[in-house]
Amino acid sequence: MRMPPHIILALTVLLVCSRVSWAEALYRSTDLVETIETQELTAERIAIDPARKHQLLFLAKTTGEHTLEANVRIRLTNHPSISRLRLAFLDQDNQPLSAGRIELRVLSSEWYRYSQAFYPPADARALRLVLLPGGEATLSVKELVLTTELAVDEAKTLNPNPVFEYGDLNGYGYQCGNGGRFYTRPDGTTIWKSGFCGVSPQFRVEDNAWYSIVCVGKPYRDRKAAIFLQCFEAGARRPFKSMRVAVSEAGESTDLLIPEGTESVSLLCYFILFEKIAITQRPNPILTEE
Amino acid sequence: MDLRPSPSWLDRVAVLLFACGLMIPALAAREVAIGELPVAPLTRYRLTFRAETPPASTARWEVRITTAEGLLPYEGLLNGAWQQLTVGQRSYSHSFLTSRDGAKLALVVIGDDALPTVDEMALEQLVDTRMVINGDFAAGAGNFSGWTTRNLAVLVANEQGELELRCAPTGYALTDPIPVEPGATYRFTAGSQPGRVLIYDYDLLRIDWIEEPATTREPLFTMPTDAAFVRIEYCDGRPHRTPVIRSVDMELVEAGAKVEDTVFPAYPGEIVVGGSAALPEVRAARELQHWIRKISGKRIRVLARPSGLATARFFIGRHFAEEHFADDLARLAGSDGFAIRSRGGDIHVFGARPAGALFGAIRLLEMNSDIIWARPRKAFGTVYSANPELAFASTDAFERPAFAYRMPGTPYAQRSDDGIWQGRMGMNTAPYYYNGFRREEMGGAHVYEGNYMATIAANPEFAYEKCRLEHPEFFAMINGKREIRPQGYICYTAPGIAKALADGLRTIMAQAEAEGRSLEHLAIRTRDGWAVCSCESCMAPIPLPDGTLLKPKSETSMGDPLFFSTRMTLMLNEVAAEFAKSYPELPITVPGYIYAAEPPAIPHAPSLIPIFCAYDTCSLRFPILEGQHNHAGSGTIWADRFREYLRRNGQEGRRLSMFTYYYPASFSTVATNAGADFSALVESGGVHGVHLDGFTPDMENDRRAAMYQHMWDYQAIERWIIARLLWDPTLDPQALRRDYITRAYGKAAPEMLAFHEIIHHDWTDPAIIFGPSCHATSASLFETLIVKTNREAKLRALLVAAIAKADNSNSRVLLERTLTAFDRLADTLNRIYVPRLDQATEEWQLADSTLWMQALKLGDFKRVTTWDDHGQAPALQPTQVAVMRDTEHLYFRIEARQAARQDQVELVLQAKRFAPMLYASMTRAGKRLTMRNFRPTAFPALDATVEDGDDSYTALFKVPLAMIETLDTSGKEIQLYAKFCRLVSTGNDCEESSLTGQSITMTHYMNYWTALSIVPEDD
Repeated sequence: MRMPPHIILALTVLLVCSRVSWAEALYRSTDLVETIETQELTAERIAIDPARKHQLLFLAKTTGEHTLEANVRIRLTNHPSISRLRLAFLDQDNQPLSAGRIELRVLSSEWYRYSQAFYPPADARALRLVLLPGGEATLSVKELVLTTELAVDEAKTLNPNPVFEYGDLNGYGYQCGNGGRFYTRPDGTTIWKSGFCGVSPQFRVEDNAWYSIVCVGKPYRDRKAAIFLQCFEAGARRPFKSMRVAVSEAGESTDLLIPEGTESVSLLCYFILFEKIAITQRPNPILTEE
Repeated sequence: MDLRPSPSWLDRVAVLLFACGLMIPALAAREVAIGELPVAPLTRYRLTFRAETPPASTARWEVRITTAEGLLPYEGLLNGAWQQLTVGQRSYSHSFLTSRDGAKLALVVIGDDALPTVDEMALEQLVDTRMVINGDFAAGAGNFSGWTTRNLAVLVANEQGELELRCAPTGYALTDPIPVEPGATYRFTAGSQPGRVLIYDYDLLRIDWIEEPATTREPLFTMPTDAAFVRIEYCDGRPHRTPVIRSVDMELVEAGAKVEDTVFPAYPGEIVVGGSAALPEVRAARELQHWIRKISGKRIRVLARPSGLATARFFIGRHFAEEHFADDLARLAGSDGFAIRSRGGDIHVFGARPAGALFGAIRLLEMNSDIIWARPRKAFGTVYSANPELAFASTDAFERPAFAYRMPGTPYAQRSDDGIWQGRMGMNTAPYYYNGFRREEMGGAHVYEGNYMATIAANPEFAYEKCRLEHPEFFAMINGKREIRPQGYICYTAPGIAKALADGLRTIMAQAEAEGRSLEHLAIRTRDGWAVCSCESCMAPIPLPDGTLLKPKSETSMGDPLFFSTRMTLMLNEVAAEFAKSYPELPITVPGYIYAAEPPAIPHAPSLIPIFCAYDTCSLRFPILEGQHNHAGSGTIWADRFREYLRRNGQEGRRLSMFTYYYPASFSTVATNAGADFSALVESGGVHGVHLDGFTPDMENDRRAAMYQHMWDYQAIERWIIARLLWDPTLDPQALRRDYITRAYGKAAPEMLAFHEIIHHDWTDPAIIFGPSCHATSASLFETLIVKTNREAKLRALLVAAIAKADNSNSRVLLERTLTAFDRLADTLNRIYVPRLDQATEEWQLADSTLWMQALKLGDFKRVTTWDDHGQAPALQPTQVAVMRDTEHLYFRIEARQAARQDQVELVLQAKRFAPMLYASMTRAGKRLTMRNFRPTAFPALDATVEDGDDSYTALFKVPLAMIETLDTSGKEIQLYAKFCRLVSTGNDCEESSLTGQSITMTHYMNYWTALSIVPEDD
């Protein structure tokens, strides 16, 4: 006997929501919201702590031509008529911040769980959630939660979205390089094909501190495959130092000392099929060995 | 010619005993011949005799095998250093192969004082089945019969008491020549491994080798058809590798094609090389002998002493020149140069060093014939015209190479052909980087090159393990941690690091001296990378001579090359001062590349030779000093840096070298730029050498050859010119190019002159904004300089015409290979010429129309890497594309087989890089989608349809050319780029395939696309 789809969906929602601390959410809503116009989801701003990693989860669907069902190549497009949910950050004066806006694209006409962990911009103190239906589309959202109480994998790592457990319609804050995309394996796990010059989310680190970078993935295109940890100074758009990071299917750990002056880092990736990228701070290995 | 012993000799098993008990009087005679015995040619014998040697005698013996006319061929003189008559030893034996014309044998005793008494001399033909003389060292200790050519090789008894031949790491040992049948197969039956089977021809010139090392595990090897002899060579050359030879032999397995013994008429002359000539001098004589026979069809002998006949004589080597050409020798001193002189009808070819004789012999042949060693390949690389009247009228030359160090690499010569060619072209340091014998024979010099840590570790006091434990401060601090590993980066300010480097060099020098080697090229360098030490001491500001401080702007060398170039030079100056305490005259080559390409803020010590390297962003199309078209925003940085190095070179009275990358991956006249760079170097002051990186082997059909395939097919002429410029950079590269073309292509020269004129024009045209480095793709070079200049058709036609006119078989092969390379380079653009079919306007929508059979078919689809690396394997569901056009539209037919319910094919078109992309897809169900830059966009003028079948469907597209944005239709050829893809949903997976096997979003380089070409002239 086949289980009715709505039961499956409900169970899935229950399962997913159980990974986050519902009770500790900064914001939560079980209500179904449907809109054909831009609509702010929250009546008031949501206070946030820029030093902490946050996670947003919600179920959503949309209508129209800009969906997976209408266009199997929808992942490749960046059309303004794609429906999305925007996280707009506000400073201490409740003024919008020009940088750091996050938008999650809703790409399916079926209910789908979207998720993204993120660090707010350093000067953000609050955010607003805004629904942006594309064109003539109707955007539907429900079961939304914003929290700083994270699931296990997310809580253990410094970098946001170390694994890709919410499927291949999520972008997780990663920029796919040429030829890159998220794919779901036949066994249901999602991997990130970095492509040429794929970039992970950028996040803050301490300089002169040691970090361990564990990469689980499979290089393709032989010797052209590579990963570099890029170090950025405050406000810089280009890294001032890059360091090679190892990867293998079994997982490789690389210990690196973050150079002085580094404010944030990201991974620049060439031709890797990633399962996991976990970055954690660690004690000085030299002192540890001694 | 049957080289085996004749049956008559086998029957007789001659034992010739000369037992007259001849007493050699103890008087002034310094050389006494003892009897004369008849011998057969190319036959193995053992000579035995007894001798009573007086105390303090230094006497030795020689075996001289002369011809019936009394001539002594060089190979007939057996005078090895081991042939000493020693006090207390009574019995002697000497086994050998007689020479080709050997008829008489004489045993000669030579000494200064009282000569030994010799008796019971006997000569016995060897009739055993062994092919290698004394391959098991049964002749006993001190007896090197059969192993005439050795260096640093000693016979010692092992623990079992058996004799074995041990070569020092830089030594070598070769069996004497072993006659073989051309085309025959042999088996390596016994012995030490690995040996290398060297192939010698009729003239005893080494011409080849068996590619795979001789081992008893892979014992069979077949002779080339031009083989006459082989020698098995044992040599390694790498530190800590000591070839040990216990036993070696081979046997005939399968006879080759019988070759009639060719009798060549005699060439009127003789070549004379001294009996104690060095390897390059012997090679010089053999080269002359070989090519005189090849060109004239006549045989000339190489003699160990002049015949005394009234004939033209070629005297090879300085031994014969010292009396008459002392001035030349003085001018040549310390160089690989040569002089060719005539005197009284005799021609002298010599150098102050043995290598000079070899380089001179090659030049003598070039001066008196049209021969050219156009490229390394033995099979077709040498071109000459037959000339039975070959005469040597041009016999006056003097050349001293501008650069002492003329090094091709990397990789170093990996094939026999490459090493021989490089030696013939006068390159001196790397015909065989590791190999002692072949390097020496081809005139190569002894070289030491090592990175800093390897050099330090050469001294046992600072071996890596000791450094690791006792001197971690020697290793660079990278990312806050000393990176300790063999040959790692070093700290430039660690206490004692400079002395440790100097001590390492002293150790290397002492080792070379102990082995009798003269090291004149010493080079030390950092590891091949940008990493530098960022310890507190290395990052401290550097006091400069003017009293200012040079402060680091970054802790990376990329961020502040000046600081780290200066930091390294400070250390190197200390190394120079320390090393000069032991070797004040010997310079050290040091890096002028990576960050050290930036001239340091302090002068180099006088004994240091920076090796300047303009790399990566420097255009190969123009001389470095012109600073034109350098890419990646580097502007004139390379011109500025080079100019500053040259300025200092002139002012500081030092020497300067260059590390170069003259190997663009397509047709070029890059040697012209090399000539300008070399000339600037020479004009600046003292120079030392040039390292030619990317001097790839001339090889193919080899698993190691993928990256080298076919480079010589379009680069041979430039490499030949560059080799010449290493000797004299003032030569006109265009004149050299004409010389090459005239010699290599003969009657086809006019076409090839025109071909290279066009290449030269466009290569040097500053109006073409394009600055390729050595990393530029062949596609970008070919497209920019040949296709976009509208030269392609003309150049190809010239090659075709040249092939038709070539009357020399090797010229034709060279040209055919050039044409093949031309076509292959053209193919790298992935261009497809779309046929114009006027009926397409009406019939394109008919998937089964026979018109589509006339359309251009593209290849099979490949899997795209998605959730796993599919490695571009053939697609699981086959897809085929056909394309045709009329004057205004392109038509595509995409047939998708083994179709799924959810299945679509896709087409992406783009006029050029960064132009808007036009996307069109069609599902099996007939749903159409169009996008512009992957944004859904309506294109009403784009038409498409689908025909669904049982397990396949065919999508048909009609695309107006006018719809493809920025398409340039003004030229003689219209080019656009296409991608063809397919998505098949199969349960919980989605198979993605494409024509190129690349993802639909791999768009950043145009070689990820399929180039479609339209020639409107067809209209």
